[in-house]
Amino acid sequence: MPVSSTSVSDSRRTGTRIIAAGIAAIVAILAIAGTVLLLTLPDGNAFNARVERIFVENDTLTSPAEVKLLEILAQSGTAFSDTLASYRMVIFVLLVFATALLVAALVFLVMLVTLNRRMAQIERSGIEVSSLIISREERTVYLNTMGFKLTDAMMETLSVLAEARLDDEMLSGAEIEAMISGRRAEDCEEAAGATRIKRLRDGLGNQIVSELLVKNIAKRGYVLAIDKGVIEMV
Amino acid sequence: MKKLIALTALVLSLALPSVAAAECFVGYKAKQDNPLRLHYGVLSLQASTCPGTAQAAKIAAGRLAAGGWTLLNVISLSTDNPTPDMEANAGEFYLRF
Repeated sequence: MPVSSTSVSDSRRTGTRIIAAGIAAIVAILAIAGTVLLLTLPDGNAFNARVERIFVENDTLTSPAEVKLLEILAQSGTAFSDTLASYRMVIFVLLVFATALLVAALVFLVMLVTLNRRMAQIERSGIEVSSLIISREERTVYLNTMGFKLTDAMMETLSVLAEARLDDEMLSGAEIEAMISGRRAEDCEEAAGATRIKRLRDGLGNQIVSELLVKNIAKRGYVLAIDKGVIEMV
Repeated sequence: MKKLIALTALVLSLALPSVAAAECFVGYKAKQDNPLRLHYGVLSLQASTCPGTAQAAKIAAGRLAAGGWTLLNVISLSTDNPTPDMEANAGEFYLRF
């Protein structure tokens, strides 16, 4: 079990790495595209400079009509560059949208892959506890959606273990016995705690196995609760 | 022969006043930015001989800057009177600066 859980978190870690690298790549590509766009789109002065050069280079361009024409040319160039500026705005908005969509697509893709791997992992490892609810009044513990009836003593043991897990603590047999019986840990025997654990395992394990593997259908008999296709004899 | 004499006389009559005026006529191009405006103009320097192009450009740039224009280049330098063509092309900028 520890091995498989390590591999799941490993795939998650690689997933995070892929996401980070992918997002960086997307942002970099689109940033480069934006910069190129900014640098290559001519502004109004580019048109003016071009017209000015034509005017300077041609000594014969001196008549008022020709000069007027050149001025009009420069003005239309400036008007065109205004249009380009608005286009640039639109293109940038589209680029931002494209970035967001690409990033979202990448995240979903990696999430899908990770979830698939996780699903396979869960299928292999059998039971994965995603919720554990201990109900003292009903004397029942709910694992995921399955409820298991326990005796009072087992409930106590399970509760003590759950509390210790919440505090990230480990309990020895003597400590378990001490917490349940209310005596000091030094006065308790390790074996007493071990017995409690054994009873809990037996009681809970039996019920889990009967729920997941060997089903007992009342008045009819026993049957394996698995798909026919997965059975193989060697 | 008679025609040649008449032509010479005409040329002399055209050339002499300019010598008498002792002026140097500079044909130039100038611009204003935002919005771009261009013009061709002629201005005169009070000198019997024309200075070099660089010197003439410096003087012309100074005078144009006072009027809010930027000199682009100097096209012609001449002590002769400007031709009617030049005068017509310069229009309102003929001897304005």
